[in-house]
Amino acid sequence: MYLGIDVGSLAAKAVLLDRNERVVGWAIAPSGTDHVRTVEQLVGSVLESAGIAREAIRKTVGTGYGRRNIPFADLAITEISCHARGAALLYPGCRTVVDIGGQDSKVIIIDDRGKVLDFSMNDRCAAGTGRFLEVMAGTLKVPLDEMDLLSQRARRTAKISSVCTVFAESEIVGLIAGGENKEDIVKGLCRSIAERVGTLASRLDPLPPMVMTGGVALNGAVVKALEEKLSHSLFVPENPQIAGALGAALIAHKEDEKGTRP
Amino acid sequence: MNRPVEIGFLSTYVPRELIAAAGFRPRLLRGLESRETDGSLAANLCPYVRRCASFLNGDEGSKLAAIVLTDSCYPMLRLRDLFREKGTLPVEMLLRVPRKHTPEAVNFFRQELDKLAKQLTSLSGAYSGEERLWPVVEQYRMTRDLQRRAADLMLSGSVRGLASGFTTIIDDEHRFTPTELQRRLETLLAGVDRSFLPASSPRLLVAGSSFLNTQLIEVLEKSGAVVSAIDSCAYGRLGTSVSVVVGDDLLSSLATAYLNQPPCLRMCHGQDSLTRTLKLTRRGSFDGALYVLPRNCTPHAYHLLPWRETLRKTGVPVLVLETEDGDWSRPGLLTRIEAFLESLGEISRA
Repeated sequence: MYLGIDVGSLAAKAVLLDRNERVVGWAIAPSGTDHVRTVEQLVGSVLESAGIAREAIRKTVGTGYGRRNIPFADLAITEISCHARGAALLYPGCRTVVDIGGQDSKVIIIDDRGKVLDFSMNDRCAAGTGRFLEVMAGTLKVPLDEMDLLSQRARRTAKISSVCTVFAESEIVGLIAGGENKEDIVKGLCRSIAERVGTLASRLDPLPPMVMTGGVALNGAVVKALEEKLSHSLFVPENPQIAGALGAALIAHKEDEKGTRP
Repeated sequence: MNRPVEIGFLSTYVPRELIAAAGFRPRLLRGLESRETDGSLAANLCPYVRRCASFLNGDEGSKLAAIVLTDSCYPMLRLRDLFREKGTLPVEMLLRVPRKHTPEAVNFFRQELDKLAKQLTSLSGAYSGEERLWPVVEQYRMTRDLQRRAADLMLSGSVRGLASGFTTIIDDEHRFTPTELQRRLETLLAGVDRSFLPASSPRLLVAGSSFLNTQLIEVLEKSGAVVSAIDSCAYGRLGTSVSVVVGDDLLSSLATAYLNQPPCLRMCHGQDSLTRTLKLTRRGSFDGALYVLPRNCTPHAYHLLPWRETLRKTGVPVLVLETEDGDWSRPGLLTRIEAFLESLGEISRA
C-alpha cells in the first residue's frame, strides 16, 4: 500500500493506493494548527475505513503547505508535482491542471505523463482562492454549496472591480445596499475568481484537455466561469480535493518501485 | 573620534583604485530594507538605489568620509537629490560617465578621474600621483585575475559549491583589502570539489540579479545542483569586468578599462546587454535556468522575456522568481524552487 498525505492550509487529505494504483481509501479533515496530530488521526481514519493495517504501508509521501510536518513521511514533494500526477491519473492525457485550494491557486502545464513542464501560482493573495469565496459567501449569507444554483438564476453578472478580498467584501456590502440581486453578485464573484486564475494561465501556454482540482472545483459556478475565461471545458474529477494526495500516493508507489528495481 | 576611513560608492564606474590610493577603503554600498525609504523615494525606483538610500539615513552613513555617485542613471541622481535635501550626505563627489567609448569619451572620463583623484587627495592628503596609484592598480589587477578564474570555473558548471562561495566573496568584497580578497579567492579555488559529478546533479544557471541573492544559490546547491550565476546588476559586474592594460598614462588606462567593461544595463542599448547575457548563458550547458527578477527593475524586465524564450527554444526549462529584498525564506518561494527542481527530475527528501 502507498500513502499520500496532502496537508493544505485549510484541509488535510489522505489517499491510500494499492500496487495497481487503485484508490483503496481516502479521508479529509480540517488541518488545524497541530498538523502532526491531524495527520495521525487522518491516517488512522483512512486505514480503518479501508480495513488495512499500518504495517501494510510501504511508502508515504507528504505534500502541501505542511508537507514537512509529517514525521513518518519518506519524502516531501511539492503540491505542484503531486497535483500534476494526480490529475494525469484521473484524466489521462490532460495537459493543463487548474488547482484552486483554500489559500492559493495554481495553473500547471504537464506533459501527457503528468510531468510538470511549467507552472504559475498565486500564494500571496486570497483573491482567486477558496478563502475569497468563503468570505464572500459569509457576507452574502449564502451557503457555499448553494452558490452554483444562485448563479444559474442570475440575469446579469455584477461587476466586482476590487482584486483584494477585503475591498471586494466592502464592495459587495455596497452592492447589496444598492439593491443588487444576490444571484447577480454570486455570478460576479465567480467571474472575479476566473479572472484572477485566468491571469495566472495567461503567463503560460495552457492546452486542452484541462482538469480542475482542489476544493473550489466543487463549485459549479466557478467551474463555468473558468471555462468561459479559458475558452475550454474543464474536467472535474469526482473528488477534486484529493488530487494532490492521490498524486503523492502515486509518487510513493513510483519511488518504491525504483528502490526495488534490480 | 576616529576619522572615517571608507568612501562609499554604488556604481561600477567608480575606480576603486583611486579611492584606495588616497588611503581610503572603497565600500560598495548595499543598503538595508527598502521599506525604510517609503516616502523618500518613489516605490518603483530601482530597488538597489532604494536600499542604499535607507543605508545612508542610518548610522552606517556616519562611517563614510564621502560618497562617490555617478550620473549614469536617473535613480542615482535622485538619490543625490535626496541626500542633499536631507543634509545627511557626507562629502559628495559626482563622476560623469560618458555613454560612448570613443577616444574623446575616454579622454573626457580621464579628466573626470583626475578631478576625482584631486578631490580624494583634498580629503585625505594622501594621494600624490602615479607612484601611489601604480601598486594599487597592480593589486587590484591580481585580484581581478583571480576573480575571473573563479567566475570562469563557476560558469563551466563542472564543480560543485563554487557559486555560493564566489558570490559570498563578491558580496563581502567591500570588507576586504585586495590582498585579503586574493587570499580568500585562492582558498576558494584551492578548495573546490572537482570530484566526478553524477548525472543526477542538475546544472542550473541563475541569471538576472543573482549575486544579490546568495541565499538562493545556497538553497540550490544544498539540493545537489551545480550552479552557475551571472548577474547584469552591480555586483556581478564587479571585479571580473574591468581589465586594466597599463600604458603610458595610468589614469587613461583606468578610464579605458572602466569604460570598456560591460556597461550598466541603463547605460547601453537593451539589445546589447541582452546579447551579452545570452552569450554568457551559452557558455555552459544547463538543465534548467532561474531568473531572479527584482521588482521595479526596468532593465531586467526588458531582458526577461526574450532571454526566457531563447532558452525555451533550446529546450531549457526556466523558472522566474520575482523578489523584493531577497527574502528567500518565504515558503512560497521555496515551494516554487522545489517544484522546479522536481520537474528537472530531482526529488526532495523529507
